[in-house]
Amino acid sequence: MNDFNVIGKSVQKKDGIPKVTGKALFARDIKFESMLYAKVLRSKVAHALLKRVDTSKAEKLPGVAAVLTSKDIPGSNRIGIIMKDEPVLVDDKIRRYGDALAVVAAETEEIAEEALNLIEVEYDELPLVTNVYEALKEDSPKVHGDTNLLTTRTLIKGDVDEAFKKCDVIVEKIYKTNYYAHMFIEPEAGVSKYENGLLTIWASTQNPHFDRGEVARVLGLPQSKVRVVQAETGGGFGGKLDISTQCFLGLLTYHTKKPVKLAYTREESMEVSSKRHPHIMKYKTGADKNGKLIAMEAEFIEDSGAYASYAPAVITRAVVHSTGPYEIPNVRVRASMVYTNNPMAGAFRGFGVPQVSIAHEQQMDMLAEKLNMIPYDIRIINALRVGSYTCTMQKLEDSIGVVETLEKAREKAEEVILNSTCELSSRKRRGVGIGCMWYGIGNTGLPNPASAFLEMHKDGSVTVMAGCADIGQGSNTVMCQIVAETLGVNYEEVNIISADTGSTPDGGATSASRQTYISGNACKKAAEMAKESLMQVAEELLNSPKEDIILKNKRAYVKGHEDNNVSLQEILSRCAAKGIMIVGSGYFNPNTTGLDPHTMQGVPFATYAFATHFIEVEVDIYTGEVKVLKVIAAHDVGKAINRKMVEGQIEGGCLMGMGLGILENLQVENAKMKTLNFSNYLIYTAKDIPEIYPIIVESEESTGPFGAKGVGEPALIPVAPAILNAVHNAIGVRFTEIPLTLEKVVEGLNNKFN
Amino acid sequence: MGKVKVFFKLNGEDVSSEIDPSKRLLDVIREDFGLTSVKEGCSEGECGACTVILNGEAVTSCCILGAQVDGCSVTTVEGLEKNGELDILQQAFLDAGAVQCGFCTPGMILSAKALLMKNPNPTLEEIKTAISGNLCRCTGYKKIIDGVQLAVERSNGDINE
Repeated sequence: MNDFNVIGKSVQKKDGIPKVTGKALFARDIKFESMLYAKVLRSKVAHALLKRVDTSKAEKLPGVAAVLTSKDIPGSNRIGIIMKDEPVLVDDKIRRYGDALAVVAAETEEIAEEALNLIEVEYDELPLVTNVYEALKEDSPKVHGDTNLLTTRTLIKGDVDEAFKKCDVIVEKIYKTNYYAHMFIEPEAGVSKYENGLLTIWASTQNPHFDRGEVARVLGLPQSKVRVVQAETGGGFGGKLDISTQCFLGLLTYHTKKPVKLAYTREESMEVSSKRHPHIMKYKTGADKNGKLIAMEAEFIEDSGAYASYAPAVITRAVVHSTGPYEIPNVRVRASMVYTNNPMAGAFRGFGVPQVSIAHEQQMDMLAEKLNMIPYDIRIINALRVGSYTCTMQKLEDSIGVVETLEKAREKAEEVILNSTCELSSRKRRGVGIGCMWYGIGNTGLPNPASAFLEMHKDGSVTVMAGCADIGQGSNTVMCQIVAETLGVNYEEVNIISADTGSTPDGGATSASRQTYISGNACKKAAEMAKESLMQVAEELLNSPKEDIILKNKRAYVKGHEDNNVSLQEILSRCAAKGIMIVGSGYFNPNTTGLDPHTMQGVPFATYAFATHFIEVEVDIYTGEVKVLKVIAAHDVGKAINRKMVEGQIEGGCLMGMGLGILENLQVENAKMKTLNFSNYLIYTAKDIPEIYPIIVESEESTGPFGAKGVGEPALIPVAPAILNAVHNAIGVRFTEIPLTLEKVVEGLNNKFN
Repeated sequence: MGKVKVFFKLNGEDVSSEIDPSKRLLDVIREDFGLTSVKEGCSEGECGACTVILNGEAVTSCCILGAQVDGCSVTTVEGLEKNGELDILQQAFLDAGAVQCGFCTPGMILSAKALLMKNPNPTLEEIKTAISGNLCRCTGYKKIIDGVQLAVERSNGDINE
């Protein structure tokens, strides 16, 4: 088929050696001469009018260099990814636990901590609003302005009311999902320094170019005077898209002119970083007697907590993915996003799609049950295909691999699950469930370009400069693979500088599973521009038109006449003699349209990833423990640029998805988070892993770099719904709330048998 | 509070340091000796990112005071390379694709190292148990376990200390 040199190969990660030797520098590992250490004073109430912050005693403490409040902010005191509704330091009202009131820089962390205790704060507490339904009442306490309704969405396709009249079967259910924490192992940290008129911040982040804009606005500086460099970042999963340490560091270095370090504690990270939006979802789905879906109606209420963060994007994405990867001719969805005094919700692997998949996948199984069909068949009948229309009336043209993921997953399931038998003790029940998903790559219905620069050096090696932040998923490696393949050079000779606003162009956020597709295309375009210059010279040297010339293994040769060839080095020597430089730049913006504001019809994404998981669980009916035994995870990624890294994403997503479905139980009481560390917010360990069978399906996307789409978020999404369906298969109880704690399972069993 | 002087072996070399008795081993290693491979992820011994090998045992250095290691031998990941060559576990982690964000990696390698030093041919369950105190949020552990198994295969029971 193809004979790629680098694409599809599991080459060694660019960041591999620095990470196994411990030399990789994360933000808290960076140190400068006469560096100060920062600490943030945080609110211990969730809703209050701030009257006074007195820093005079703290300022007098020996070793303290600065104590700053909102009054010390030279520029804007409102930040936020989409809506600027979050203060850097509170100036009027506290809206949640952990809101920042003052920030201190001192010679040591201990002195900074001591100084926090000397700051006097006065406030008038206000009544709390912590429940979304209460929040929408007219007389509720208001978090911002005069309404808690942050935003709404309505999607209308076809005529739902008429369509339900024609349905032979209808299922209705209400589903609820909880908060979840990213629990990246590295808590947020950053270091700042001012030198030669430039403020530089090294931060643990997923989007340094966004950070730079926010810091510049807060300090009232032009963006060219602020440089943000992504330090090695210890996981993100969406939780490092919001501003954390960056603005505090900027302010402290602005005022002291000294380097400053700020490293969050785990508890601080947990309290103030965004969480997954809790959803309440009412679903009604109808089909004809053959199982063909005819109509779906849904209503969502989502809790954004005290600030908006990514809320407008999460609600949009949840709504446009609400059907799952199925064609439904009539759809109506209404969704509301609500402010409360609860912890702030934001981006978390999947952006609202893991929540809706809990619902749409169980609806599918319930319909199948009513129709006496098997869950596989109802999915095959309704799965999106080339020519299908999505719920936004986007006609799907290319790279629609959901049916193939279903088929491949089933084949594997027959081999490793369905044909296996075992003796079970009387308290154990086993079951198998299916979860399918689709996921639009990139931001929903919005322009979201990324760009890259590139230079080929005189020895044929290449430096790529791309804004894209590698948070461990491996984008640096993927970008280098794409460039190496395009230019016909060795992967090892391509180096990348990434995510440094001082030397790389904007790559946008590392979110929405977008970097392979979008930054990958930008890097490919930059490489193609450079290649064009090489080809001009190769044409001359080989006396053949460039259409006939292939650049591979550091040689250019004429197609079909491989003896007529010239080395890359010879081409480069000729370029040097002629004064031709081998440079390139490129940017890529996926082809989307805005969505109609009243019906959300349009083309929100240029391409979609698809997946099917088959999961086998074992339920202990005495304790309620749900154990995942096997996960078959078939993912249509378009093209795997690096197979091992794609598998790594799938395996990691599976374990995180199991946490979402079963284990991770974040507790909030009266707006206060009770689970602040790994001791009570549990995540799975190496002892808990099931057998995972990743299956890579490559339904190539014609607009993707070498056909690639994305896999980061898709890996997680089908897991929890497949578990819920498997548990139903095992014990006959349908659970509509996650996580599936022991108590919930036991209660479900008791209700069934009593 | 007065300082105490401790003498210990750090990555095979005799070292000493005047330390505040309340200072954690984690901070002594990172600040006084500049070995930043030892990471702080939770400060309460739950995540394992600060794992070091202390007298042959994998321990979380956030839960040990610096003063406690007087006379002991401490190994961090910086001490694994020999003559510029990666340790067998480091190479196996690379080859197995066991590294994603890398924040848990040094601790994970050290927990595996401590296991192999005592038990050069561990079973799958023994590997899982040995690294179960090291949390990883990226990989799902599968390729980390593959890495340890690959090292076991390649070492043929011959593990350097």
